[in-house]
Parts: sequence; C-alpha cells; structure tokens
Amino acid sequence: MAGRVLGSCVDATPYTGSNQCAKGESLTTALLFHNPLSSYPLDAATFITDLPAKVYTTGIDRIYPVKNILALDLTGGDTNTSDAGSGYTSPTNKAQVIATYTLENDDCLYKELVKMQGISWRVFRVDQDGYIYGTVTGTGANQAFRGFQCKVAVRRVQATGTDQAFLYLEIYYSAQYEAELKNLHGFNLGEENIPDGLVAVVVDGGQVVGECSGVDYTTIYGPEWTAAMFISSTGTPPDSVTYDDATGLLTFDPTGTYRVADAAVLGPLGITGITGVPLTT
Amino acid sequence: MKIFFSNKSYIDISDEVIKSSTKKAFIKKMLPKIARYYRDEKEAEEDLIKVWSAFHKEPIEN
Repeated sequence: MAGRVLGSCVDATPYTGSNQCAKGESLTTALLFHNPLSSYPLDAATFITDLPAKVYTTGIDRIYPVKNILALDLTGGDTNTSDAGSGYTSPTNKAQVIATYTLENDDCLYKELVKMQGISWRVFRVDQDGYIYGTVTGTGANQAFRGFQCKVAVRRVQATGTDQAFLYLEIYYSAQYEAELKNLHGFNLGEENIPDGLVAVVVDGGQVVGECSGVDYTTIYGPEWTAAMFISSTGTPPDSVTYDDATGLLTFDPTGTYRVADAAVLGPLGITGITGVPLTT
Repeated sequence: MKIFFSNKSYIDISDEVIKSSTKKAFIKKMLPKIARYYRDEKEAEEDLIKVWSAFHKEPIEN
C-alpha cells in the first residue's frame, strides 16, 4: 500500500472537567462593532485602557457601541444532518445563527444603524455581568482580540393599536461562527467601562444641537467649549468663542458658518460622546 | 486660553490669536467682545493683559 491520508485530530483532545467559578455568557446589554480589518489587544487591562479613545479615533480602529438593548431572540444554530442512506443520520454542520436584538425605539438611532447594513462587521458582545466576548485570531505574537464576523440588518416596526414601536437590530453571524466560538475570549470589562456611541451634532443658531434630534448639547458641555473645537466653512477655527451662561449661546469671532470638529479632535480636548459632521451648505 | 467671567460665562481665545498679536493689538481686538461681561472695562483689560502675558511668559506690568 502506498500513500497516506493524515488524520486531523491534533486539536481534538477535549478537556471536559467542570471549571471552578464557571462563567457563562448572560444577556447581552451592549454591542461593540468594529471594522473587520481591525484588531485589539488580548490583554484585558490594555483593552480597557484603550477603549474610550477607540470610540472617537479616526480610521478603521474606531469602535461603534450600541446600547439600550431590551431583549434578545436567537434563531438558527441547529445542527444540520445528512442521511447516511441506511436509516442513520450524522451531524454535518450548524445552521447560521441570527441574533435579533430589540432596542429602545429611537428614530434617530434607526437612521444611523441603517448605514451599517450591507457592510461586513465584527462585533463584541458585552453581557449584563459586564463581560466582553469576542474571539482570538492569529497565533503566537500575532494573536489579537476581535469581534465575531457578522452582517447587520435593521428593522423599524411602527406602533400598532396593541403593540408599541420597536427597533430591531439583527446580527447574521458568519459561517465561521462556530470556529470563532472555539477560540472564544472574554473578560470582565466592567459595566462602568462600556462606552456610549457617538451622537452627530451641528451648530445651529449659536447652539450645538443633535443633528437629528435637535437636543441642545451647548449647556450640557457648558464650560468645556474651546475655539479649537469648531471649524469654519473655510476650514479654520475661530479666533475666539464666547459662551454666555445667561442665554446658553455660543458666539464666534469672526462671524461665519461653523461646524463642530470631529470626535477625534473633541475627545482629547475633553468632550466625548458627540462628533461634528461636515457642513452640507 | 479661557477667561471666565463672574456669571459662568467665558471666552476661549485661540492660542494662534494670542501668539500672533502684540499686546496692544490683542487688547484692541478682544476688549469689545468681553467688556459687557464686566462692570468696569478696566477689569476686562486687566484680564486680557494677564492672558497675553501668561502666554508670552512676560511679567505683568503694574
């Protein structure tokens, strides 16, 4: 006999003991999306330290948190089988896992989430114990912490006479999901360390307001505004910005059309959670 | 650099403006913008001198 077909049981040694203080993933309270090309440190302390800046950084390393999750409905994941032809079936693979998250109804959030459709993402899950879950990719020194590969769909369901309106965020995990779970990685992120996503803001009538909601952010960040946080239509910051506490309004010098700078500028200057968007006029 | 007025209002002046202005030009440019927040214009001028002098690391003249 010549030739061999080598076995592939190298990784097939299951260690089936019960773990002390076992942790199982509980209900998801936050999702952290990121570009499929980006990766993050495996070390928990480093990840936690870096995380706030990742929300406002520019480029592919930016993380997009989604919170306000009310419920989760899981479908798929069933074992597919094939008929062996003699009255037996054997497991072949798993059906695609689809997670449907119910979010607090927010039309402005809906308008942002639909931008995520049709794009590949990776997503970290954070459970109600504050643990973050993702997967490990690479080997040796190239090992990195990354979210699960997925695609996203968003559904906005209007209120009816009997049911209130909801926003549904569907996550379609990839065919690699089981392999990713095999390399599952998680640690205690801490509830207090889960960042909020960014809200787009514009300057309107001397106020910084939510681009969609119109909510006034001027007074929320009252003492924090600086001239460097604004950009004129010609791309330069104002010479000065004055905040009048009595009116809650900002005045720019020279007068003109201004926008709020990007989150990457605001964050290091002390304002997080919002980002300016380019002028459209 | 920021100058806080008495009622939680303030002005933030870009470093570039302070850096590129003489003390006299700086006061002339900024005084009209902040004078209304002071009871006495002289106090406003003194605050501007403090900011300009701090930035240029120049002793404040009495």
